Amino acid sequence: MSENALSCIDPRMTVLDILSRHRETEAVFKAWDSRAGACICCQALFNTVQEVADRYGLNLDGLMAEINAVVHPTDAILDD
Amino acid sequence: MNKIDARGLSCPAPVLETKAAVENRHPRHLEVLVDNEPARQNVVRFLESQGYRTHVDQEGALYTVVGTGGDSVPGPKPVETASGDAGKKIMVMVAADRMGSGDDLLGAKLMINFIKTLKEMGDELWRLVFVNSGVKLTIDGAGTLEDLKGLEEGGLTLLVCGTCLDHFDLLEKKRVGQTTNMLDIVTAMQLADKVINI
Repeated sequence: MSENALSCIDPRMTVLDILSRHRETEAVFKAWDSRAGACICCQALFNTVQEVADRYGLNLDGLMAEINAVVHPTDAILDD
Repeated sequence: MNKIDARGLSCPAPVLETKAAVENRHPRHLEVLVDNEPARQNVVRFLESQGYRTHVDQEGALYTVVGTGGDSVPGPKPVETASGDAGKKIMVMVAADRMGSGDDLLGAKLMINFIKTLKEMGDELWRLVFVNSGVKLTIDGAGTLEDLKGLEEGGLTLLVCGTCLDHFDLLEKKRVGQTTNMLDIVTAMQLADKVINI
């Protein structure tokens, strides 16, 4: 993953902040609902991604990678 | 009348629509119609984070969330029928670019750590106000800048004393927060449940 991708989306950002900037990330959060066992956008909208990962025992790096892949699809392709 | 019909929408859509309305129109009065409990809770929480006082009318499965006030509205709080429903609002006023006295280098490090740790206050942290040399924490090159940007991006309102920026000739170097005046600062103090001075 490039430094550019990491610099734009940070795990300290809230789910709401990410969604309001990149609405396309909603699909990622919805896809992770089953692993969280809850609707992230309903129950953790005001939490940071880090807090969401901690709260629901999610793989933070995996979640961030998928968010960044949606926000920066070109970077994701280059990383492959 | 500012009214958002978010019936049939699930989170995050009702909050995102509310957020857009608040940021674009700055309404003093806003009504949001939702038809599910998570949306009701999140819209209320969002509006209160923006300084609105809220109450909810319910008719069956339909909720009307009413927000009044908003951060841009100074003055006394109107009487609400609901009581004790507002979350605590903590205002932190930073009046120096370092913490404590005795060793300036240590004080600067402590201030960076303080700003970095502020997020632990959670949603109760309502306003962060910078006056006197505290405004130097908001300018280009400040060690606190990225953390402050993170707080602002997370929805926290940062107020930076314009007179102070002008005094230090830093008006053009400010990179985070809203330039403000003493009336806004005094109003924020009046509205806050607790003021912490650093």
